[in-house]
Amino acid sequence: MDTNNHNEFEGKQTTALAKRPEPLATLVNPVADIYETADNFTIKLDMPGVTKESVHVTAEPGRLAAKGEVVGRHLEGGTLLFSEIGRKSYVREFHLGEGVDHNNIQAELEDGVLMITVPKIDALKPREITVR
Amino acid sequence: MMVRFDFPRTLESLFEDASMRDFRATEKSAPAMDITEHENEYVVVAELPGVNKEEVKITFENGVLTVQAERKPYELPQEARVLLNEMRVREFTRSLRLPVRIDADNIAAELQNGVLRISLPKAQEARPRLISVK
Repeated sequence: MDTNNHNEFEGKQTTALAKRPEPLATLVNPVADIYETADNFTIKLDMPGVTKESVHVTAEPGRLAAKGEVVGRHLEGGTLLFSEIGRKSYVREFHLGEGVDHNNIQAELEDGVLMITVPKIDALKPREITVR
Repeated sequence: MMVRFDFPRTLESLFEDASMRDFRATEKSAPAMDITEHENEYVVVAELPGVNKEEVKITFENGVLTVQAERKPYELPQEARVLLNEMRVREFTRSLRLPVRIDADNIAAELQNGVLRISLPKAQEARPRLISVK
């Protein structure tokens, strides 16, 4: 009985040691470009490795958040020799001023770059005044 | 009415600088990489955000793999005002020496979601083999 328990303990320990630790996800603030036109604000974020399914853009009055996950599928089944990418979570938030239409924000992903278009409300767009 | 993106104070100076700097300035950088070894190949993964397939050049010579890529600036609307410009890198380049012989004819690469994946099969003589005892 004693011997059995001992063996079982040993067995578990061996398994725990043999298992390779999962690399932890790093938190990254992606670099951004922002520009303004008459109708919109455009935000671009570098998020290499995220897919349409693993990226989330949320907007509420006053706040815009972009999040994305890189799950590290390329790490599976091999021995990692060198790592600067691994698994990571991208997070970046922006405060939105009044005058943007947070219900009509659009986002698209291309070549690892997330592009978010934030429309201005009409009151904010430049207008030409006709001289009568 | 005012619309503005509020940044922490430290970023505010950046924010103001952006419009004054040359938006199309070139900066070089080494792309971030992961390298994994598998039984019959090495896999090199490199981050190349904003780069499209036509702008990537991969060479393999004397055991040295070189990745070069150009990031073309995106179309900026004529009347646009740049508020923030942190995407400075326009050119990626990095070389690395592989520790074993590579089957150079069968190196393959694909670019997806801004990530380049290069598969470098080990040459036959560098692969593990089982020696049978006669």
